[in-house]
Formats: sequence, structure tokens, C-alpha cells
Amino acid sequence: MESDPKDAKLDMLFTAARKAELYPLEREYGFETRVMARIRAERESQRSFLLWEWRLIPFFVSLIIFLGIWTYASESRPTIDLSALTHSGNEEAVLTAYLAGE
Amino acid sequence: MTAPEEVPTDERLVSATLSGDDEAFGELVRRHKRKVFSIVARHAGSTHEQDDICQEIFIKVYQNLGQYRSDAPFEHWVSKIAVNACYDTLRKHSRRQKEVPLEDVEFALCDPSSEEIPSNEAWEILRHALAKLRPEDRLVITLLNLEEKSIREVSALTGWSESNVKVRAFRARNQLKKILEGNHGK
Repeated sequence: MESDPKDAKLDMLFTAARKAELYPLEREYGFETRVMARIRAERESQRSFLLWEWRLIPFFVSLIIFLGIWTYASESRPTIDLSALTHSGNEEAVLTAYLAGE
Repeated sequence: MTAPEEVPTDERLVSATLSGDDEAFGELVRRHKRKVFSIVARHAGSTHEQDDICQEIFIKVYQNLGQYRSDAPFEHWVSKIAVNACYDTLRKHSRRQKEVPLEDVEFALCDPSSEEIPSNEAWEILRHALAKLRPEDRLVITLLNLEEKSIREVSALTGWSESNVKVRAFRARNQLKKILEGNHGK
């Protein structure tokens, strides 16, 4: 079978390209230090986020307590609602009491 | 006379890192950085970008170290992460890479002369032509023809089936020839 001359030429190109210097070796210098610094920085930022989460816990706890107290207080407060009384069927008694100044 | 210091294996360094020893991970980076640099250099563009990708790869390695099973060499596991990171980068930049001009690249694919091409020049020609390929075609050509991996190795690195790799390689090679021919005709 006859081989394609274009393929042979392309293979030549690949062979030559494989020998090319892709990056200067000095770029490797201190690489592990840079990686470790980034890892430490990421770990640190994650730690500070967790720390903030813990710091915010008392705030949320006091907020929940405050809301609980407020809800309880607003529910137990006695309501004097005249309109409610008039709608409950004793309109006449209320009117008499009002006119009599009782 | 003191006994020569035993060099810890990658597996031992992995377990030391998992126990919180940062120095052990530094040693792993030192051992495998050249391999990662050479993989990334074939895929990424600028030197800055290459350095960033290499750092990202090792951060990913660090974050997923717990998932490493020592049934395969550590280098293969790192290479797989590196290839996946490169593929992601190629996909991210595929639109931008299509805009790379080919005007300054000259290569006579039909020229029968067997004159040797300088290696850096050959890489420049290929780099520009590869930038015109689809990310998966570029990846398969790079791994098979430039890094000289076998079909099985490419399949293991990319997660594609062997037949899929063969089909993609064939298609990518034809596409690459067309790009180089087209360029010569201009």
C-alpha cells in the first residue's frame, strides 16, 4: 500500500515539534513554594470563614431568643377591641353601656 | 558508616500529606512538576496561563488526595488530572483560539523534500494549526502524536473508549492536514 506523502511530512513535523523546548526550565524554580503558599492561603481563607461562622452564632441565637420573646409578648397582650365586641352579637348592650356612660 | 537515607515512595508521601504534613506534599510537587509542566505547555497559551494552570492542577491534586487509590502509580493519577484541566482550558478558550491568525505560518505539506524543520519552528507551525482544531481533536493529537501516548493510555487519561480515541484521532489528523494545506495555499 502506498503511503500518503502528506502523512510522512506531517509525521516529520510532529517529530521535530517533540524536540522543541516548550518552556524555560527556570520557570520550575520555586514552583512548589508558590503552590504551597496558595494552598496555605486558601486554607487560611476557609478557616477565617469558619471562624466568622462561629462568631455569628451568638448573634443569631440572641436574635432567635428576641423574636421568641417578642412573639410570646404580642400574643399574650389583652386586646380591647370595640369593633370586635359590636360584631359578636351584643351590639345593643354595648350601645346602652356607652350611652349610660358606664 | 551511616546507612543511605531511604527515599519515601509517592504513596508514603500521600499518606503523610493526608496526616497534615505540608512538606510531604511539597516533595510530591517537586517530583511531578516537570511532568505537569510538559503536559500543560502543549495545551495552554501564554506562560502566565501555563503557570496558573499548573498551580491549579496541584491544588486540585491536594484537594482530592483522599480519593487517590494506590492501585495505579501516583504519576498517572496526576497526569489524568492535568489532562482534564487542559481539556477544560481548551474548551474554555476554544472560541478565542479559532481567531488565531495563521498568516505567519508557512508549511508545505505537499513538498516532497525531506528537509528537516527546526524544532521550535515546527512547534510554532503546529501550535497555530492545532489552535484551529476542536478541543477534543487537539487533545487527542497532542497526546498521541506529540506526547507519544498509546491509544490505551489516551483512553485511560481522557475516559473515552479506545474506539472513540481512534475515530477522533483519524478525524483530527485529516482536519489538521486540511488546515496545513489550506494555509499553504494562501
